[in-house]
Amino acid sequence: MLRILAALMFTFAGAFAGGAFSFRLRERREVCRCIGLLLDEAAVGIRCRGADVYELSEIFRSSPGLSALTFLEGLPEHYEPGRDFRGQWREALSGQQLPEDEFQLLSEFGEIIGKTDTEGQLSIIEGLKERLGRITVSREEAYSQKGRMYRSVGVLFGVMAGILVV
Amino acid sequence: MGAVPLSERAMLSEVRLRCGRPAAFTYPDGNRYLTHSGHLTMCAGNTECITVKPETLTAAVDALCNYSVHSRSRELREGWFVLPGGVRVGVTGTSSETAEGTLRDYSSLNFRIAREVRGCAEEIFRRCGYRAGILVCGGVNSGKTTVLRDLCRLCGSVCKTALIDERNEIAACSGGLPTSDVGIMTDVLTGCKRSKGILSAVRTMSPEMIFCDEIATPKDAEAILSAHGSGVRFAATIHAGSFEELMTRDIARRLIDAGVFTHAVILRGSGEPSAVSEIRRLGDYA
Repeated sequence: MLRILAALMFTFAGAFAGGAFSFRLRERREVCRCIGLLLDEAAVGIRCRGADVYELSEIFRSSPGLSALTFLEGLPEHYEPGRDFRGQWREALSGQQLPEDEFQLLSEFGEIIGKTDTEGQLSIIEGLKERLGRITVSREEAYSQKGRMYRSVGVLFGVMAGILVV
Repeated sequence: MGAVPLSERAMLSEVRLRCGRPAAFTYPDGNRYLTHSGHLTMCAGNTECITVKPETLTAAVDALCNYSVHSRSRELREGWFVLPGGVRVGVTGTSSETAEGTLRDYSSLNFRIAREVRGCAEEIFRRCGYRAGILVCGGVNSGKTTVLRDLCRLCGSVCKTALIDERNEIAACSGGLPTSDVGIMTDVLTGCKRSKGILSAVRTMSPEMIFCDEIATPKDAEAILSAHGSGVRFAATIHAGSFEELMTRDIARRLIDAGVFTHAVILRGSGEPSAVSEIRRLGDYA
């Protein structure tokens, strides 16, 4: 009886581990979707309202679709004399556990936001969106291929370990 | 600003930052320059003077624009923007090659300190009343805008007034709220071209009097004549150091001949900002 229980536990553990790996890949895909939404919100804010960086921060924070980007909570609400917004962006982003490419893209966006005229900002955002598109495709592929594999392999190893125990 | 003694701040009219040259503070009696020790000196050649670096100018414009140059594109294209409180910042630099043509590689900044001098137009108001057409004339830094602001406050307290504040330096509106006292019956139009603003105010706000700063173009004159035909009175400023200089300006002649302005107020000049030298009736001249 104990052996059967142990076998079941191994099976579940394997499935859980596979699921966790797969979930991580899905999270990466979600982060890409959120960054895409952030860039869209920024483009609309700049084009339609001429929103400054503090107004954009407020838009980002209040957007329910951007909840996965927790660093946005650390952005300032108002202009603070002597404090550079881009430094505050860097600071907010620094502690985040994000994949390298996405982190790089958000860092670049933070460095360039507000530095040029409207036309320049929109072209930069367009360029970043193109790059994000390529990253998103690779994340999608990774999730659809490896995600399934991780789940299957997880269950398989769990079952194998269970059989060995039995 | 910490370098400026409190007693002298009231007289400070401009702060100028020019790339590669000393930071200058403009007073009615001349310029003073900021030194590394935080004091002001009259001698520009002093080795102690702080030299403005290009990156200082870029950082200053960046911070003054709330780190959002794009949100000030229109103003930067025209070479100025206004800070909360009505301080007008003039900017020079290289025009970018984008369609917008916003400035970059800034070379100079000029902070023109706006201040309300309550009562500086009381004599004008007492002598001309609020049924007159008033043209305030003066040279650079003579306080034309300051006088117009105070006159607007006085007229805006007794009759329906519209203030066409193209550069938002008279009312210094923030979020629609005028931060300077421009009168309780004054409607403020900011950020629009003067000529457009005048016509829009006449159509929508039915003012008895319209105030506008620095009339200069034939379009301004056309708009003023059109509104004057609807029975609106005007108070405006124009750049002219003396009455004789005023009469050499076509736009002024045209408006005076049409009877738009009944009084010309000549200011003393940059040595005594906002002080009135002469109030002249124009009816006799016209």
